[in-house]
Amino acid sequence: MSATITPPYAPVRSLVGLAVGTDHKGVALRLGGAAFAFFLAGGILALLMRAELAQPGMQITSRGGYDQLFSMHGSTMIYLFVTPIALALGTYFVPLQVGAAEIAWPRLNLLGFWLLVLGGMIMWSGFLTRGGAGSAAWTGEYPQSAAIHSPGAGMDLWCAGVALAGLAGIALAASQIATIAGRRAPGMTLLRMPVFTWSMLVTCLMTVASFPALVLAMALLLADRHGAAIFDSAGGPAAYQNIFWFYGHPVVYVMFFPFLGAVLEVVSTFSGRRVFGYRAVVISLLVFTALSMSVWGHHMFTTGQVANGYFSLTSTMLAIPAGLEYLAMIGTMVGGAIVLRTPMLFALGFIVQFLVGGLSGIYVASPPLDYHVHDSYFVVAHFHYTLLAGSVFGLFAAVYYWWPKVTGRLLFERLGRVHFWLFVLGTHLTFIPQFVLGYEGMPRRVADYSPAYGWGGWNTVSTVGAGIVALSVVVFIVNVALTSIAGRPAGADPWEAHTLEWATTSPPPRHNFTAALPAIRSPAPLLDLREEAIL
Amino acid sequence: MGNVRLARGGGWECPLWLPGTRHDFAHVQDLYLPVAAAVFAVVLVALAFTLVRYRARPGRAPRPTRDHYAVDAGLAVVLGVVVAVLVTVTLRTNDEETALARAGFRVDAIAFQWGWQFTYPSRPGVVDRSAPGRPATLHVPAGTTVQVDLRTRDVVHAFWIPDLRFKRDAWPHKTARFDLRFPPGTAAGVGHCAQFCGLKHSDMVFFVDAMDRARFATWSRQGGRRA
Amino acid sequence: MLVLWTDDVVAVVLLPGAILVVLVVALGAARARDPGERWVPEASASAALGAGALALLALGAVAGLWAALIGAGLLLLALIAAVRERRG
Repeated sequence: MSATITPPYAPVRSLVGLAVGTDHKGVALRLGGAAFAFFLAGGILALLMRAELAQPGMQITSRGGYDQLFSMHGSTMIYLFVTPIALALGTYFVPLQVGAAEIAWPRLNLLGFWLLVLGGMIMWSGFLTRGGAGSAAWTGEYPQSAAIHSPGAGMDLWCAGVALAGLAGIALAASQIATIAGRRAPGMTLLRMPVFTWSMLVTCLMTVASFPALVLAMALLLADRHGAAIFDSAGGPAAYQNIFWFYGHPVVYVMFFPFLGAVLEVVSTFSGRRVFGYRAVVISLLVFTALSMSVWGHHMFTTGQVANGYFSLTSTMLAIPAGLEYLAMIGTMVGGAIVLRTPMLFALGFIVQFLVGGLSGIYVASPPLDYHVHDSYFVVAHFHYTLLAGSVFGLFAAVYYWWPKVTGRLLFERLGRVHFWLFVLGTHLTFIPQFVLGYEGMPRRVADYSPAYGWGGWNTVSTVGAGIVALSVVVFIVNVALTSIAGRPAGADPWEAHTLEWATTSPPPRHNFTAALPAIRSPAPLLDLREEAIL
Repeated sequence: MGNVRLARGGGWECPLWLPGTRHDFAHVQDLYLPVAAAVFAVVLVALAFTLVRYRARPGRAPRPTRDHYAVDAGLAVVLGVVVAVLVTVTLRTNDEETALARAGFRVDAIAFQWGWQFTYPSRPGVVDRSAPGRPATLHVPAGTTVQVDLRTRDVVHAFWIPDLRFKRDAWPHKTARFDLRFPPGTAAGVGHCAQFCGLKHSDMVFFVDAMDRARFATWSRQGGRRA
Repeated sequence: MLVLWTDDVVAVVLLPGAILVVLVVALGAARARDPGERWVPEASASAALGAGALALLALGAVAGLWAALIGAGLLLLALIAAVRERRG
């Protein structure tokens, strides 16, 4: 990691520095902070939705209002929370893990951050317009999103915001790919990169490959809404869906792989062992990635417009690399000395709960089954298990794990455990009823339902669960606040971890490493050092 | 698919049991659910065992990782076999489920914002249409093939009858054709629009009246007025 | 393989298109490997300006041509500023 340090400006620590500073760590923190703020905003929308649905009848809002709630909830969570925070983990830790002093394209990286923030603000400004925010679902369902069915600036602002968020992803991902390609420390070959870095590499490759389709879809939709007859033909709506879902499926893996990588690091650290089957992990990540680019039609099984057989085959095949990843996670623990600190608890939660999402995913990959549960609460439960009960658990595993490295202080263990158990209880209470409701016939994206169906009971349970999830997030925020006042100093390596980010101070200095790096002979250089010291 | 003939005037002959979407669904689910449950159980047990057996104890050091790529390869093969079985059953059932019979009781279904209209080519003049506050009723003969041609007047909608475990989207400029068989004894059921279509999406309900031979004959005779 | 199953042009073109994009990016990244020293910026006003410019461009669809034109102009300025920042 040789870099000439010749700043054109003096180090900027002021408010201006927050706007234009290019230190990848600062950008990552700002990005993560913005994404978390969007998480809270999207979460409030979810609580409003659940409050409305708990019982039949419209108690909180109108039908039009509800349509805005669910559209903006999904849009915020996907475009503005999970995707950016997944990329932000890489923005912070990929340069550190490969032993670089700085990310490869710092200006492009900063551009990405600002595109995300501005895109989010533009999307949300839709709420201030007369017609309200975009309300054609997070997917911009066409022709519902056409000018004739969704008039008003809110929908246009939504399209613009989403396009900017898509561009943001591309910028952030490209910087990480360039870092991995050209900034690795001497001795770090591709097959000595940590699994987290590998997971970020495939994530970023998928991002640059698929996000352009999103930007294209939004640009075409905007043009269509303003007079150009783009999707207004017999094949138009299908073309929109093909382009959109070509982005729409890989993005869910963009929202999964970084957390899978982080969980593998956590499991490896808290078992005291290297990752089991490192090469198999790398290969299965690559296969998973390639395959995930060719399954998008499974979102369109009921349309009659795609080759259901082909997409069912590729989608079901995803079980193979997924199974190998699970083998790696459990195999790493076997033979270890497992310590159940908070990051490990969240990692275990991820392993169990993502599996529910994954298995329900194999279920809906079968068209005869999907013909029943598609567009019902069953599929809502499926993707919330993968995203909330899965990826967000993985996110918290990463947060509790890396918090001491980033801030220099440890989060409180006991509060972390309270957060974990409340979150577990909350997610199951919220989403198990939704599997039942969808199976029994409750469609999704409905503002209300008739009391005759008898769905009020399960809906109320689900709403209670959502409240518990919210409570768990409050506990986390309290933990963060208390820690910043009175947290224990962490030191460079509080967990006895394996990878290079733990070889520097907490937090790392401006250019990441001041002392010489340890010799890199494996994906776990610090573990190598420790084992040598024992011998 | 059995021997089904529709005589003019509403009578029919049918075998004792007809396959249909509900049967196809159950056939696939009877495989998928046990497989999913088994996988979940295996992972849970493996995880629980590992957590107990390999919990950190004073004096116990972790065993250095040794890769056994044969295990990975073996798992990949096993999963490959499972996937092959699942996909084979799925594709075969899907072909059956989406196959179209040569003849049946035809229904023209039109979805619009925000209701349904059902007309029956063999019963000209009979129209079942949604009105505000009064959902449309789909009248069909039970126990025989019903051929639906589904269209939309505006945006994408979806025709979903949960009791039949089947839905299909209605797309602009396209006609979706599918066959349904309503089990004998289903007096009434409910249908929903499952594809978000705007303001009153949640109100786009329709009722299903799958009539036995006698009632169907009455309904046909009376031009759909009372059944 | 999808070609065997469908004659939907859009669906068939998307995947090879994406593969092409990835290959270009990978090639670009591989050639970007530079041997050692580089200037590392501390701050980049051009990046922030560029983001604002792109946002205005996108808003042009909502607000009107004037916003898009201002955005395009600002983008040009941002690109010039970026080049000057790189030169140091």
